[in-house]
Amino acid sequence: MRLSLDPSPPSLEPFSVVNHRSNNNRHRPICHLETEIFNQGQMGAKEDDGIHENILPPIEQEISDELNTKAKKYLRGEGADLKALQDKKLKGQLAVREEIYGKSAKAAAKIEKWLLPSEGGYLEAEGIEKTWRIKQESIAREVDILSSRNQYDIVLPELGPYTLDFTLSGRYMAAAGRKGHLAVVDMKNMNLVKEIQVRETVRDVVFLHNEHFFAAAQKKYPYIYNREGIELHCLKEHGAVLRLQFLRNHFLLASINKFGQLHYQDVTMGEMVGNFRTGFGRTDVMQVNPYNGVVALGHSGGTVTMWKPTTSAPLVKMLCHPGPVSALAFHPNGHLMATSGKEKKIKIWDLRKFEVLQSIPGHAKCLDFSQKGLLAVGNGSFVQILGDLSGSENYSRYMGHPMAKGYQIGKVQFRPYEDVLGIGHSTGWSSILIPGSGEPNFDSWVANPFETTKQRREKEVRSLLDKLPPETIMLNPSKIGTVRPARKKEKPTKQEREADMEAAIEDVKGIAMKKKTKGRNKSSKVAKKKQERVAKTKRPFLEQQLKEDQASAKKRQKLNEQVELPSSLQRFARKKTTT
Amino acid sequence: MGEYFSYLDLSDNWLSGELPSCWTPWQTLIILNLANNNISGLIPNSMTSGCYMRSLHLRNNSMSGELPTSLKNCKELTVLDVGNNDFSGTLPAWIGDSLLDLAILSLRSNQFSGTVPRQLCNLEKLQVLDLSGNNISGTIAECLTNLTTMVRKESSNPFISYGFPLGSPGDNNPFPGSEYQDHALLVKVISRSADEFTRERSQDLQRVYHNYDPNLRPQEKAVEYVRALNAAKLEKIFARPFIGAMDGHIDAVSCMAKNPNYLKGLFSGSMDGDIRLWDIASRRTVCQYPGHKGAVRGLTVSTDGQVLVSCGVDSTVRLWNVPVATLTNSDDSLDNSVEPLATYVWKNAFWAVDHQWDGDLFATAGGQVDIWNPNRSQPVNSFQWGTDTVISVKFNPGEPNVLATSASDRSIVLYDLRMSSPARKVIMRTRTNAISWNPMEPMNFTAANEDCNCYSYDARKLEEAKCVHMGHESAVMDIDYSPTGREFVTGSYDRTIRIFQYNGGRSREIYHTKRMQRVFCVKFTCDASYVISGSDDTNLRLWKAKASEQLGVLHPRERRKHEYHEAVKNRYKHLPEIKRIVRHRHLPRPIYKAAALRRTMIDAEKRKAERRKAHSAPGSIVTVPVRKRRIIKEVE
Repeated sequence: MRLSLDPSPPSLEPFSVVNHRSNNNRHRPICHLETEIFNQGQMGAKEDDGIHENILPPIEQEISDELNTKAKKYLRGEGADLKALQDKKLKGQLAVREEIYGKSAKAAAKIEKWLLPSEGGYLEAEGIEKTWRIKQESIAREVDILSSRNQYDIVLPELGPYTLDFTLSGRYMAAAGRKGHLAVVDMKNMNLVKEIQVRETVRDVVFLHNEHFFAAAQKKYPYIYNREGIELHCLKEHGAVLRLQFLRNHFLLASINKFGQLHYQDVTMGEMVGNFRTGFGRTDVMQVNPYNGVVALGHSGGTVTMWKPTTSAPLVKMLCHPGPVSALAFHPNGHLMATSGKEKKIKIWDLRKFEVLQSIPGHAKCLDFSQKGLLAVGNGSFVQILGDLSGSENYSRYMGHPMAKGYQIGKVQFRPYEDVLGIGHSTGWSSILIPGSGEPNFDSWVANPFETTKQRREKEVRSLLDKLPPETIMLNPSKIGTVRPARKKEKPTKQEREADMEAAIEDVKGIAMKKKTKGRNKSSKVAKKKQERVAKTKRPFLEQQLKEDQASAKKRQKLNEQVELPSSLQRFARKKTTT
Repeated sequence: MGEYFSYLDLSDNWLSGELPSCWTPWQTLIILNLANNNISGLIPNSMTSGCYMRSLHLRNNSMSGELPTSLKNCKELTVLDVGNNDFSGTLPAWIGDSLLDLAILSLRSNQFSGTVPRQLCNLEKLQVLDLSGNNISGTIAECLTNLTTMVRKESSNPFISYGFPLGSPGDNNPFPGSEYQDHALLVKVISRSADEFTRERSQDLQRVYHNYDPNLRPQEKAVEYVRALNAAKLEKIFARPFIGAMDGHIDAVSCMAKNPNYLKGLFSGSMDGDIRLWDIASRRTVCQYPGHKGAVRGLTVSTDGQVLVSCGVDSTVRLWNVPVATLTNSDDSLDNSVEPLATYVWKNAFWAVDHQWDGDLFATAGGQVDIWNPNRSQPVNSFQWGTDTVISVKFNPGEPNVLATSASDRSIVLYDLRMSSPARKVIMRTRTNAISWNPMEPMNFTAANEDCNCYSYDARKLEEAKCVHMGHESAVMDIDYSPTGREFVTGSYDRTIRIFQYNGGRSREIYHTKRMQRVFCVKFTCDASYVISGSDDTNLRLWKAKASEQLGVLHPRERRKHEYHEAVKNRYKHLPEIKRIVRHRHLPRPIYKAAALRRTMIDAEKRKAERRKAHSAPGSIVTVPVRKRRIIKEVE
């Protein structure tokens, strides 16, 4: 695997602090919950805790262990390394901070019992029975009527193949048939909200921030429609778009068109935020990493590139497959990426180290990760669900579902907050039950499947207030507000270099010569040897010097060249790539 | 061959007739499946006496009679399925006593009658109990709740805890031929009924759910940063500190006094000898105290809030009665003119007066420091250190007998009333106009100096200031601490008011208006939320102590929102964008220019000092820290 990172580190100037003393990368949101809990918090916990833990009966010990593992999620990473700190005052402040963080994480873990009452779905097989042999029909017999309604095939053979998109809450679904059929469906009661026929090719559909707006990539341009099917905007600048993605936190509509151009448009103000030629040719494999808002493109050369709207060069360029990349998906926690190549390989990548974790044989036309980390693989007329069943990031078969022969699956997408997988295929769309795929507990302020009109309006305003600027898209989003690492030491000055050389020469001179045998111990030879030694030590220093001189001369020459160009020709001068 | 029989499956056939009673292989059978046949008659006793059977399926036959009691002997029986037959009689109670291993018990569609025996509760391993289609009556025993294996508690808890030693080849189903086979599948999917998650009536509150999982909120740090930025901008938008002006005086306001016993009352004295009592809430004059000829220079109120003491350049000290505040007295206010309780004439003009925090005495400053008892027409004590005029005096809030004065010979002197002579003195390069003690740390005081700065001192250690508060562009005329002791307000000759942290080198807030002229006196109100200034333009002005604070009663949600904004702003205050917005203050052009000029002057001086030091012999020039630079000496 080849991997080339962005040559210049992403510019973080507006968000970094140089002289902030704390070097704590961990981030805790400020929420009312924390403060409220602290008011009730117990005093003088530290030593008491230590004593208590030693005398706990085994069952309570187990409970506290369980609590600790739960609290880990809320701690959001490691704490500050207090031992490494020299500054006593800072150490004290940070120690207090850490204690508060620990307490609040524990409190959050404790109240999980009340806040998160719903249990997630599961599917377990008995004895030598295997979960992947279980058919949808047998699941349908076991689950309640409400859930079994989520298994259906909508057969629309004329206008397919179909592609789908769900809103963040999973309540609404937009379906788009290749031949111009656009539909918005309320999934709660299976109501068709609106259906229109645009009479031209539709390649992709995506919801904007709520179910009232969606964008469709049509034959020549993408369009934005509202829920009533009224065309609101035609985004001509994007061109013939193959794939659309919406960045919810940033209100950016990202598109990749036929010519491999990546566009970012702010849908609130209409401003074109970024417009880049990828230079990797045509592709329709595009996916947003929900964790950091970075857009990944899979190319026909087997590379996957990652982009942000403020730089024209990709942040990351990694060669994932020897052949074309056919599909791409991101785990919701942002650390895992699944790619599939045409060479019959599905690979799971660790995005923190950019390493392959696992390589699974198999084709995939489309991939999708669920909220709980199941991976749906659509290929031909068969959907396979892979699961990280052991919890060690080792994906293995979990479920499978064969569609009717001849259905060509074009899109798989898990419905958020439900155990449902939506499948868009050549003759309509289908929905199957995948127990354990969705997050069982939703948050009314993040995504509410039972949202009222008033709540939706309120949310729209709030999310607009919290709209992130495009600069906040970066590979590691927790970098915001942290300390910029100290610059590398400046180059040594000329004097320093000379002093170093002198010192090295002195060292060499000081070494006593070995007594050689008679004849070989001549004073002339000894002197020559000494000279050689000195020359040898000098050499690297001089070479270094020479190199730098040459480089600076080149630079000067380049500068002169630029100056020499008459102003009318200046525009033809080679421009440096803007980073 | 029969002796080795252990598994006999003759289900789904057309077998008919009765079961033979004398067939020996019954003894060795472990699994017997005769379901879906047409067998009639009774269950033979020989079949069940001393058997090792684990699974007995006789479903869908036409057998009759009662279940033989000898079935008791089959203690290892785990599956007993006799559904769809014509068995009759009462439900056998012995099932609960002896067949303790039963997991599946199906007696459905028979002619059983009577009640459900309580003994069934003993079958702790029971998972399927099917009694439908019978003539059973009576109540169901409550102890059925003991059948805990029917309840699925943890996913680790195995639903079916036994394995079959034998199974038909190719069939992985643990219940061959049983209609309960699907129960082996353990499946649960998320299912939310709308009734549970939405409100019942429109009067109800909407149901809300919380999930603090960090995975649901990507980029929370960036979101928080944006919120902090918005909070900083909102703070700027809502920064409207000026509440109103109080006009009435016809000359510059020279001094003010708070009433320690009444929050709304404020006294002010002006250069023409007028003293007024103001009601801050309605911003109107409550009453006037005429009498002084010439400027009133000092005002103070006794600890009990009953007596107002004033002094002026007409060399008199006057004591006034403070009217009791009633609700009605604000209307006909201007007629409330009163006569002084007492008037004491003394030798020299007075510059300031201050009352003890806890006691009867008050001190005046003028030619010397005089200590007065309100009942005597002459001072009870007088102090003097040096010959110049004393211009301010302040009693210590913690120790009633200690007071600090400043004089026009640039000195600050501390006195102790219990001693006959002054305690300590520090001489600075410029004059100190006013002094204020920190009410929460009473050993510290801050001096408002003529050189544009304020100096915080520890009274026990006067050779060095604790902190230098810079910012004003002209002489600081007055200073007053907030009752919280965490910040103080200063008024200056440069027409601005500034609020400083008690340990902050630069001001936190600058207030100015176009019409406000030289500020002579400032006061923090006793609830620490307002600031009052008196200036040359004859007006008193009321300001908010926190410029963007929302006045009035706050909804708890509003309050929480403000707290949240404060917290995120505090967390990201170091980031350049937020820092810039939070720090920025608009200044009038003359002040802005004066500040720039002053900065260049200071920089030039600093540069010069640095160069001088660099070009002198090492150690010959010592840089004096700013905290010491303006102090000439300390005298004990």
